[in-house]
Amino acid sequence: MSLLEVSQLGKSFGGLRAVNDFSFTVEEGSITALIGPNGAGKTTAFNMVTGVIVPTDGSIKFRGQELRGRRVDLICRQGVARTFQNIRLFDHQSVLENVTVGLHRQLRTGFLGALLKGPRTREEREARVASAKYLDFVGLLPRANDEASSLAYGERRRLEIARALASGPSLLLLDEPAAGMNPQETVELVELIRKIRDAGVTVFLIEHDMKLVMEISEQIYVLNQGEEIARGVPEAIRNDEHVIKAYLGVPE
Amino acid sequence: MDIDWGYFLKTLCNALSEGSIYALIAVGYTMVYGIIKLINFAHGEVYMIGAMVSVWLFVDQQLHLAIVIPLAMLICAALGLFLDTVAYKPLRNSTRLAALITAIGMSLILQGVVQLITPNYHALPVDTTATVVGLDKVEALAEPREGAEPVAKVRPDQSRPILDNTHPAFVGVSWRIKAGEDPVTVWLPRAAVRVEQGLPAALDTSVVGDVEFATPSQPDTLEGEPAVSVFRLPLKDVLVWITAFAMMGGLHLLVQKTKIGKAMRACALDQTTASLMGVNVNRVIAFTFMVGSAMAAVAGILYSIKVGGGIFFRMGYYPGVIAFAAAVLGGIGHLKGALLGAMLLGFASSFWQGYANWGLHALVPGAGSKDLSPYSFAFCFLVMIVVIVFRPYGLLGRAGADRA
Amino acid sequence: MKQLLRNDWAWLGLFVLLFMVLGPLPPAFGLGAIAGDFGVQVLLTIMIYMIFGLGLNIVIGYTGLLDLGYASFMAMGAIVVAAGLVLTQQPAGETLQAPLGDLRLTQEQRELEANANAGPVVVQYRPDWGYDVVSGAEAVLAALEAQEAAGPDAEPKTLSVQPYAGLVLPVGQKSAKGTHPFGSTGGFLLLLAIAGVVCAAFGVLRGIPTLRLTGDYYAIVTLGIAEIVYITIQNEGWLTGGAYGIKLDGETIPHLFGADPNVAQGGTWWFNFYYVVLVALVFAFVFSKRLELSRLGRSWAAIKADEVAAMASGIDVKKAKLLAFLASGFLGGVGGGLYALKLTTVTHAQAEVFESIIVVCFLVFGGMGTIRGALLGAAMLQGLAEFLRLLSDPFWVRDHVFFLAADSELSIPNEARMLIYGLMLVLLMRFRPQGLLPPRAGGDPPSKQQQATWRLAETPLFRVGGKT
Repeated sequence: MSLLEVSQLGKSFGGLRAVNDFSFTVEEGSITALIGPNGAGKTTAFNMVTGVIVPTDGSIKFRGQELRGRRVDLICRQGVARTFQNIRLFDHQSVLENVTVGLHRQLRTGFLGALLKGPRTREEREARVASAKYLDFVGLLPRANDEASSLAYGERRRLEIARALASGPSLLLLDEPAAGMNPQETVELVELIRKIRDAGVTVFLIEHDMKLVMEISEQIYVLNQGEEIARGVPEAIRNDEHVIKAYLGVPE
Repeated sequence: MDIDWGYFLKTLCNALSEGSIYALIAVGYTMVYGIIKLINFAHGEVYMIGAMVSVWLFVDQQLHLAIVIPLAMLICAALGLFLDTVAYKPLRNSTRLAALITAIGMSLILQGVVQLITPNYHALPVDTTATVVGLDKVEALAEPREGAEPVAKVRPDQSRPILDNTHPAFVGVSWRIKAGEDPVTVWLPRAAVRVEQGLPAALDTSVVGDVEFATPSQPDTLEGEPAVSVFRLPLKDVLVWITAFAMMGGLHLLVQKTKIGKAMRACALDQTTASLMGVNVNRVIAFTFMVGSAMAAVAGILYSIKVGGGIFFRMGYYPGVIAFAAAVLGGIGHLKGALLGAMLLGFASSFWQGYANWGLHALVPGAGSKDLSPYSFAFCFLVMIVVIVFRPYGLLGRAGADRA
Repeated sequence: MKQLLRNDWAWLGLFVLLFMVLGPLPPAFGLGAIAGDFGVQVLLTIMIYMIFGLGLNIVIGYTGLLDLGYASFMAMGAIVVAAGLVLTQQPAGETLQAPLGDLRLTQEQRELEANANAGPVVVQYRPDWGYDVVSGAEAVLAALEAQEAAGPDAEPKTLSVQPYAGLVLPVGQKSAKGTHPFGSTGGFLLLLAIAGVVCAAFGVLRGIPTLRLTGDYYAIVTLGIAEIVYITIQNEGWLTGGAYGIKLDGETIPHLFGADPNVAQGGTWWFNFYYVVLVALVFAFVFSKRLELSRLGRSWAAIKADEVAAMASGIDVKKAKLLAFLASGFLGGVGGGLYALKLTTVTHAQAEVFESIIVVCFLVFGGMGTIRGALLGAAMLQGLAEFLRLLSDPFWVRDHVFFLAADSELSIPNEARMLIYGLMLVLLMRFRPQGLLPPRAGGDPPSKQQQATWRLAETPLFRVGGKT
């Protein structure tokens, strides 16, 4: 059984069909990519998997369980974490606190617990340590106490990944993780994604940087105007004439 | 069931007038919100100042209504321009919450200024000025009687009394005996209190015509003759409707047919694109504030014509919130929606006031003397909440409209 | 110094110290030794408004929702306490048993009436919610005559005179001391807790329809609900005393630690009450602080910053918001309950929109999202308001403002407060939208040693994929 099995996913906004009859699978332990020109419906597909948008039709099965129609936070609790195309950090909190928020689903203390026990609990101490270790994992530990808004672009991306990892996912969705990065940062990002995969987290990503996609992906899906036009290993995609047409435009 | 048609028509008149006034306020909210996404909290105060100014021009300066209306519109348009330039324009690039808090601040400032410069209107609930005859009686009351300890000495010069007219037999007169303490209220027989109306009700007695309605369901009253319920159509209501609809029509033409109107619509759709197309967005916003404020001024004038009292610094608050509710109800950004929403709320409020008690007693036999009419505004607020929660894009708006 | 300015506990310490120094000394030394009686009242008001500020800060500051209806909680807490005290009062002696809404004339009053000269009517309020007619006006006299005509054995007639708590003239016999279950310290604290729970429940109820709203639509809906509450309080006189409110007096105000609020022991009572309020303030502070630093507090901060990202991090946004409304409502109810004893007359005025906006002003002024901001805002603005209140009394100005001539008529109306608050909001948003003491994230980078400790530490919370 694949980790994520999506079948006949569809979404309409008014009369516009953003995604149509899109079926795909993400195998456990793989790095899978979703590519396509701007406006192809990639982010919409991501939003549907993570529950931010409710699909018009189709089904989304994660470890055999239906995710469609579930609340965003419950999908996260199932073990699906994500980052956002336009980086959504908690800007006015420290870098460390951003990650601690990500730990939310792994912690237990509730309303009464907080009132009765106060902040000096074992759980809070462990949460701090764990947050620091996630930061270390993405290489941001020295910036732990800075305000999140003070980070550079590439660092912000990595912080978002750390926050997503903190929720302990088995599937991590990355929405254009390399966008706006310089070549050096991109190289580090590739390393990080591999490290995450090697640790046992399945990675599903949207990316425009073809070099990166071809380098790390095992399976690639190509969307164009809401329709799937190709799927396969990087080598096959590179030579697929539909894909070339979609990216370069159809010669008249 | 016999229906008192005269009463019904009177309620209908009130509803139409109330709706007209809300509509003129609501267009200001809807245009401003449509363009800069700001609930202009101070808009109700522009309406209040419109009413104040019109009373001042009409009563104190003895000007003709045909001069009072354009003059008050001009003054309020200037006020609208002032609000935008001084308060809102510097905040175009900050958060919407900051702009909203500024709007609340401007509302407090305008209320405060008006309260300070119009002490005569200070917190009087119904009537604009009041003189209490027989203050000595109040003093005498406060003097010790046999076996009684004096509780309070009334110092009538300290502050003006506040009157409470809610009871049929007594008038409650409140003074603040010592600054900072709660006012002390004495209930005097109605005869001991003389209340003078502030506004000469010049238009009050003018009547367009009497319309008579026979209610044949009561043949046995007074020697078998059918009871006759007389309904008089008041001139002031007619004046309110004609003015309001003329203004709304003019505004519609302005927005649809003129160049600046086109620019306003363009800005409401997309400010960035509009500015790229050569529209001076800031000027359009300022103009929108001016037009909306002028409309609010007309609403203020019409209110003072229709009601003739209750003109004080806080009068803009409820109508302001209800007019905003009307704008949301109709679909924010739509002029027609504002008119529709305002009419619906005007009808809701007037008919609630007219018929809520009747309905209560018809449906609940044991209701006793329970009075539901004060809840008419609460009913309007409830409508607003239900609309915002379940249909934030309003009756005429489209789904998916911005609601954050 | 900078660190100290950012430390909430330091600010709390400072204020508690100030309140203890300025506040009443033990009664042996006289009430309000330094600040005077008026000063003690001012300090009480400031402390209670600090509790309100802390409560509202949970919704506005932590969760980032502009709530314009907090006055509902303040008023409901006060009404629960005041009505609880008054309704459960067991009358003693010759007080009237009339329910609110009608007026029974007893033999005693008829005799009283016969002796009295006909003058303006004065309706006397009784703690058990009955009303004495002390001397007559036409309506009452007519009723009395009808009563006389019916003969002395007829049932006491019920008049449909609306109840008003008017000028209280203690004519006639004073009733003996009544008792009620909330009359002791423990009883009062229980009642206070009930007020908190009622308001917390109302907060949750009110929150349910607003869960999907943010920004200005949330603000206007809370405003609308607050107006409905205000109109209801004004009109449901059977519970709230209507436009004239509920009056507490020496018989209904609970004893605190054995001190009777009546004149002889009044000093001790105020001293005890002052410290009850101070302890409540510290409680509200710890309550807020613990929530802020908890998992729930982090959820609120995340929701404030970005609701979608918060959801995607596994936070149940609706539940977190409802808990914020609950916590905020609870503090509002407790603060309102204390305010009821301080005011002794609880009216619908406590539920006015301006009351809500005052507390919003505290937070905006002090810095939204910080406890220290709420404390500082309440202290400075409420202090300013009380000072303006003094300035609105020409007699006080004449006696205390040295540069004015003895016959000066200058006074600043108390209502100038509205103008000043408005100006303050506008100027703050323009020049310092973050307030005086805004929240600050972060600090110095962690030391190498600290980093090493973190790297080596083991915790089950850290696991990427299968590994830890």
